[in-house]
Amino acid sequence: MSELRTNKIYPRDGLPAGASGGIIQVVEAFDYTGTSISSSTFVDTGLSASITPTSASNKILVYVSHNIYKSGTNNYMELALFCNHGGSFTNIGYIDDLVAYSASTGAMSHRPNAMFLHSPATTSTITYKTQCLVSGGGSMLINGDASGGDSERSRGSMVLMEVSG
Amino acid sequence: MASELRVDRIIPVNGVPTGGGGGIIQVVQSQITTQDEVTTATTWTDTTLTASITPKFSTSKILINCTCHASNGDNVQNTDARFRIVRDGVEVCKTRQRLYDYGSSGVYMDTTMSMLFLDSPATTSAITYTLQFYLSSGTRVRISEAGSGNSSLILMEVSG
Repeated sequence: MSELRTNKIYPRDGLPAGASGGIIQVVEAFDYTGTSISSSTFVDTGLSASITPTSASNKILVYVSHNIYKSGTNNYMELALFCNHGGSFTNIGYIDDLVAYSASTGAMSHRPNAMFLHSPATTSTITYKTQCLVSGGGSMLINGDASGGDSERSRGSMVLMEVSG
Repeated sequence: MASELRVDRIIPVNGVPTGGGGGIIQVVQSQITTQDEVTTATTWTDTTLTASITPKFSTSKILINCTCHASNGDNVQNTDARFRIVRDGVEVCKTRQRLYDYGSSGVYMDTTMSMLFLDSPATTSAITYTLQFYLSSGTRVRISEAGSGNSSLILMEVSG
């Protein structure tokens, strides 16, 4: 069996400007816990994942997906990605501001997802997490309805991929 | 001449992270462009979106991306659908897509449903992943409705 142990995978002629190379490690975290969110300021969704880059010049390709469910009126959820490498979490990107704004009572669900290429410039362990808020009052469910039985469950997932840089 | 690296496993220099994997060593894609729908309520039904892969190692993981165009198809109110990926019939990922606000009068609605997740099949035998859908309420749910969008299932073997 052949095995390549490396911290870089590059195209033979090097990286084009602004591009990254191959993926050398992948980590996933997921959450099926249906959580009700009513906070109007950012709070943790419960989904987080950590990765330790093998090189400070490598980048982290972050994929995030949640399921959001609402049944109220005139409200919506904002989702954002936060990163901690150095002691405190900072917002590195907004994911979505759905679901949804509706003038009438209506149940809707939606699966926002997003990908970010982050350059943490470290070989220390980095933790990524999502936070959300509800604007307009009321509450929303994230990653399913914990009281609704198995068919109501929805997987929230975060995949971290270290990309050669 | 192009260079070519043939290797069984790609591992970070410090080893594979706990619960994770190394580099990607093979990729398989399946795509459908023709409409598929389910009209039977509360029964998990196979879609035609399916893909197979044979892992080189039982320690490998499979990174799975499923992206599909989904719609309620006929302007009905309160279409409430579920989607899941099964590996040889066993559920490995699930999500809900409620396609319509039932408080109003019924409109056509479509959306994109996407999942990316890591599975640990622990086998070197061929395995098949299939997208299933489920109608909790409403008349039907469709994927890849004619002229509206393709659906794809991508399997990536990640060194473990």
